[in-house]
Amino acid sequence: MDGGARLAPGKTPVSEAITFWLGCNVLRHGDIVHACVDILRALGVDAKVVGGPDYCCGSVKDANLATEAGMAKRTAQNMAAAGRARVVAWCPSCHAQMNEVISRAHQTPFSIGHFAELLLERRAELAKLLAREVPLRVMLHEHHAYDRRVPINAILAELLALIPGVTVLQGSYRAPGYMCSPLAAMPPLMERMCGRTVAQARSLGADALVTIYHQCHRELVGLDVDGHLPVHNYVQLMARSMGIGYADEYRAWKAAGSGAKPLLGEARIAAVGEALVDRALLPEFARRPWTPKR
Amino acid sequence: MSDPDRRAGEARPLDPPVADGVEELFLLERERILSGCTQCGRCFEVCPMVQDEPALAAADAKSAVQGVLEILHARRASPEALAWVARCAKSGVCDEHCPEPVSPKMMLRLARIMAYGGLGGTAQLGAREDPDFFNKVHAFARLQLTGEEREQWTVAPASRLGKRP
Repeated sequence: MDGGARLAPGKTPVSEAITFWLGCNVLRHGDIVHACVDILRALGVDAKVVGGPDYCCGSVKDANLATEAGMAKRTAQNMAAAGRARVVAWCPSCHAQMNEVISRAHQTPFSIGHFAELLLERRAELAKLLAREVPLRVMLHEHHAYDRRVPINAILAELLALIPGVTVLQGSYRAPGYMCSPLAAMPPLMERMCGRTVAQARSLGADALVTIYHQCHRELVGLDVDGHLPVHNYVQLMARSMGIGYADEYRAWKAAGSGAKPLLGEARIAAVGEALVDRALLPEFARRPWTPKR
Repeated sequence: MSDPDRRAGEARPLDPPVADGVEELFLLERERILSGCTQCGRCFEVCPMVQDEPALAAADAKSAVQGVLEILHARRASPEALAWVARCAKSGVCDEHCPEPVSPKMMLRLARIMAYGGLGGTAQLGAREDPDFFNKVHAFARLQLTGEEREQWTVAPASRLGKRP
């Protein structure tokens, strides 16, 4: 990412207080999390940030219904205890689980929406913050919308068009599923999807692919580090245009693959536990979503 | 915007609960689907995950749906029904095309839960759970968030008495 500094807190008058619900897996992408928090602050939104297992929606536990039910109940209670009238979700899985399951099984005294919807709602203020040129012709990585009431692909096309210098190229291919994580468990399907995505981006003359969700970013940044196609998350482009910059460490780890330990450093490896790094993190960094047939 | 029914960015209030807990909700949904589904097969025909797999796309749509309903009855299902259930990636295209007041997306999710052995019955599918799922979430938080951010953002007040070290 471009250089820049985090926004100093307290510079913008607060216009609304919300709960900003991260979910779990976006915690892989500290730059995206921090950029979202800074964007909210710059928009005058007082965000109580919550995420991780204490606020897990439970949707990953379909194979263990008792656990899923317990997590859903705990999260409903924790969200209610946060005391904010509006919850804004980053993760589409969490948002869908709240709408389709949690709120129908537990008291949820708040409204729910997606982060991109909040940005769209405040697009006039957001446009004023997007001051720097980001000269890129981009293709949006589209899936089917995770909720019929949230036209996420159209919202993102509109938001990206707010960034000076960004041109959004419209293709016809839409990846199956609502994001990449279910596809990642089916490598042949993932390979076909990546192949079609790269081919379409090239045929459109795109400089880069833009992801909406962290889960897609986590998989598709593998295309970037292998030199097939630059991949950015839309929040990274917004941060760049606002002049706030963070290192995309996950991308660097992905590029280093199984040799990422020096980037993590001894102190952080010790904090996490070397056995977990070896067993779970390095294999994830080494995994690639696509190997083109020669 | 493609959805004329709502204003862009509008926050949606959540409806009151219809069940007491997730298990009860899923049992209610199961009954609703079993009584409402007419097995027309439209959900199978429009599914992007079916269309992506030629062997599955060649299956009879009505039979595939019938097989999914067998899972909801806690009975043994056909291979194509199990293959469809295992492949569901929650595109939700089925919900847009279903002519009945049921959600095929929920039908497939319930069938997957039951095929895993949830809600009683014999498991017909092996679950693919990552035993390190939450370990990795904690690890990445430690790698990239400050201690203060982890404390404020990822530890719910109700957890503080017994919080993790």
